[in-house]
Amino acid sequence: MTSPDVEQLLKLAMAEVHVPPGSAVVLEGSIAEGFGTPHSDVDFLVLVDGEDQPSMPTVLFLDGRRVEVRMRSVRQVAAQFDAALTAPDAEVLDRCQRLLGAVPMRGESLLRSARSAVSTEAFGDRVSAWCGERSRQALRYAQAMAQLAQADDAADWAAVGLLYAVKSWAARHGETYLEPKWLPAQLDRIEARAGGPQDLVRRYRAGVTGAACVDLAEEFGVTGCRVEPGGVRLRRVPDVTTWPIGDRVHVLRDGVDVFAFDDGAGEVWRSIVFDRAPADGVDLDVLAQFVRLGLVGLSDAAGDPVRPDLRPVTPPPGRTCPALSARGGAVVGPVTLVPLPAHRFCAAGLDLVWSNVLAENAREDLLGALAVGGAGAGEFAGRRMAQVACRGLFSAAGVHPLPPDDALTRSLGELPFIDGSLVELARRAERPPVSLTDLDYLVAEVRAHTGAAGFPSSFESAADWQRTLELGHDWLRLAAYLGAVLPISDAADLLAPRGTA
Amino acid sequence: MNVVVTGAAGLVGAEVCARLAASGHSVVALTHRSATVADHRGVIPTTPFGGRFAAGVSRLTVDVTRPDLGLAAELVDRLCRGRCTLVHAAAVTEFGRDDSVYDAVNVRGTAHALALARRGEMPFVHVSTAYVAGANGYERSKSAAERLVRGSGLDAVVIRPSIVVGTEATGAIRAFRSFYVLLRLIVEGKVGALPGRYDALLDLVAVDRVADLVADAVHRFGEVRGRTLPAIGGRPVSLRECSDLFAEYPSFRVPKFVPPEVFRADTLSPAQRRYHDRVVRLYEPYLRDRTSFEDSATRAFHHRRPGITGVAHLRRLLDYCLAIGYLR
Repeated sequence: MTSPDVEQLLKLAMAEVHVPPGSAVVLEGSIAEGFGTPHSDVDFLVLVDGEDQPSMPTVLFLDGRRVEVRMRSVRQVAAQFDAALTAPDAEVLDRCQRLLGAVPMRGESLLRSARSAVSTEAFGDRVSAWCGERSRQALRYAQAMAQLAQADDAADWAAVGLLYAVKSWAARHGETYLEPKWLPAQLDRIEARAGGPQDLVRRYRAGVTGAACVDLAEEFGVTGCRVEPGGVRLRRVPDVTTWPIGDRVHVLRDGVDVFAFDDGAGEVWRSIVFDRAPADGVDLDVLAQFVRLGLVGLSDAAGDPVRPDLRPVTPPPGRTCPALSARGGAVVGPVTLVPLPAHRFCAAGLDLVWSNVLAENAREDLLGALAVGGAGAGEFAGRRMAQVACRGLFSAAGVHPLPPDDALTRSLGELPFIDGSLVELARRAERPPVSLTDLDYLVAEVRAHTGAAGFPSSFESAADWQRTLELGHDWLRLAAYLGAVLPISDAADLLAPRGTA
Repeated sequence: MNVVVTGAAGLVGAEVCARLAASGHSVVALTHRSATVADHRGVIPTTPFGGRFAAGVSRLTVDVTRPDLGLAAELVDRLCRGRCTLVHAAAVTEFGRDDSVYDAVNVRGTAHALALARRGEMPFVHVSTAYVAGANGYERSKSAAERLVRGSGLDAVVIRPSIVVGTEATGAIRAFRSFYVLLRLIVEGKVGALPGRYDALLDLVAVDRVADLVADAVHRFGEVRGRTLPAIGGRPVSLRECSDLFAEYPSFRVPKFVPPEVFRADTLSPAQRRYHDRVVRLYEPYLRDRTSFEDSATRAFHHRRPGITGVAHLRRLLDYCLAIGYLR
């Protein structure tokens, strides 16, 4: 793209965007850096000697080119340079680099003044250090994943680590443009400036993989990236907590995501002791999955964290329906993301347990009413027993809050795991004449669907009430942790300060 | 200054010896069975006490259950002529021992230490416990010992530590007793259900904080003569907080705290029942009560504030236990 072309595009852009008098205008980005192609966007930055400007650029389509006009105040630019030197991240470094590598179009003196906040050398050092750290952590992660027998991850991250080692080296040689995609062109320029091929560059271009990436990265100047064999340790990740429900291990991430583990994954999870190596014989594939999910971190033997530029993965939510039972989230495979936010998962689980308690309570009432021959009371208790039992089906589906009791049996058909015979049974059991046989059968069917088979007769004895509390206990612990509203006053009393429940 | 420390092989006693010796005092460490004195950092160099007070720590074997601590008359005379301060830290602190043991060591041992202090006109710094409500034989004995101290007419100060645990900085502790035994049973799943309430409170105090306070009381005895100074963390942790904290550790099992009024030991498995009867039962009041302590007298005297308390301190203790393999 020629200068007249750019000038022409700038004139067209200025007609569309209000530029305060006295502002500087620069061409920045890949074209300014000399990497542009006929398809590259044309990026202008307007440097305003006045009020702070909004972040969003104006996007224009002019003469068949996509043109972005970004506005920044001098103060905003100064803040960016300050951040680049004190707490750099990729975006800040990229913004600063674009300005430092920009081609002045208008108001050069203002641009010069803004750029004077940081020297080219200091900025190059900063970019080099930042890329070096990214390289170091990627290479450490690659070695750690290799120790967890994750060959593909190890290979991918070794390549990333080496790439950033080269970027770090390139930044020390004046090439601070951050985008990795222009690295080949940057290396060409370095060699051109040096007057000939560079041995390191040649070896990088020749291609290395695996452990050789670490060796070559060190030659590019990135040190401290080795993790000694067998040196990987497991590290605590903040806001990751363990919540057994019955025999099933659940892990809560950031107070929002609930992962349910099958027995094998549960064993692997239980084997984790922070600041120690993975347990002997542990399933490393599952352990590596925990790492990817951000449930456990890695460090080296000295305790220094391995921190790749990697956000925790979130898998597709589990698709099993019902999503939960009295014994926790449904699992499909080793690790299942419960398809409910933690609060609703917990509330539904508590409702499910409580529906079983209420069913027992209603049955007690029904037996009492039948014993004294109170038909009306019997019908009421029977209806209630059927309805509260059906609550459990909705709770198992993750429904919370529950529909009104009177609407439950007629809404049962909406639940995909319920067949017509159960709907019919529930409708029949709800209506007079009272049939204890139907009601008991309904309760048993519901419990079979919701993992609550063998629920104790909560009100028959102190021992049964204790068993009832113990069944609900794991849900209650999680609920208390999440600050959920407890549906059971006795449970609130169990967990809350006495006298306040 | 010459300082005699009973129970010098114990958790608090050893830390006190280390501090006093570091401050340049001549410390006579009185131990019973142990031939060494070790604080949380390791063994403290000692020399045998032959009757002369020397810089550093010298050691002497005693038996507090016997008059004159079982010492020969000549050694008693030497100690009494030394213008010493006496720190009485010797005690049986484990729960579940026979009352006769508590009586012999904690009560009569205190009487014998007081007699020595009286004879040598020694200022008396008595290490008691914040838990003197009498919930078990240990607490009753410590309460009785305090009464002896107060009734002795001697110049005395009583230091009342709550539950003594690892240091503030690292959680390090030399021996895992009492609280740690229960902790291990809980997080290793040896006991699945315990009688307790989630709002029960445990006050944990770092052993270094207790020792600092004792050493300060020795240095500035005149300012606290006749006082009782609680040595507490000041930010008790509830069992709810413990339960939530345990959830941070994948390997930890978490017990169910069942309200004592509905808890039934007969529903436990035989193995759990054994642990319950041997250990958990001894701690029932601690798992049930919302005990907290007021320490304004301590804060007015001793200006070092706890660097870390409550859940943060407990997390550090757990990390230490894991790091050295006490917990898994």
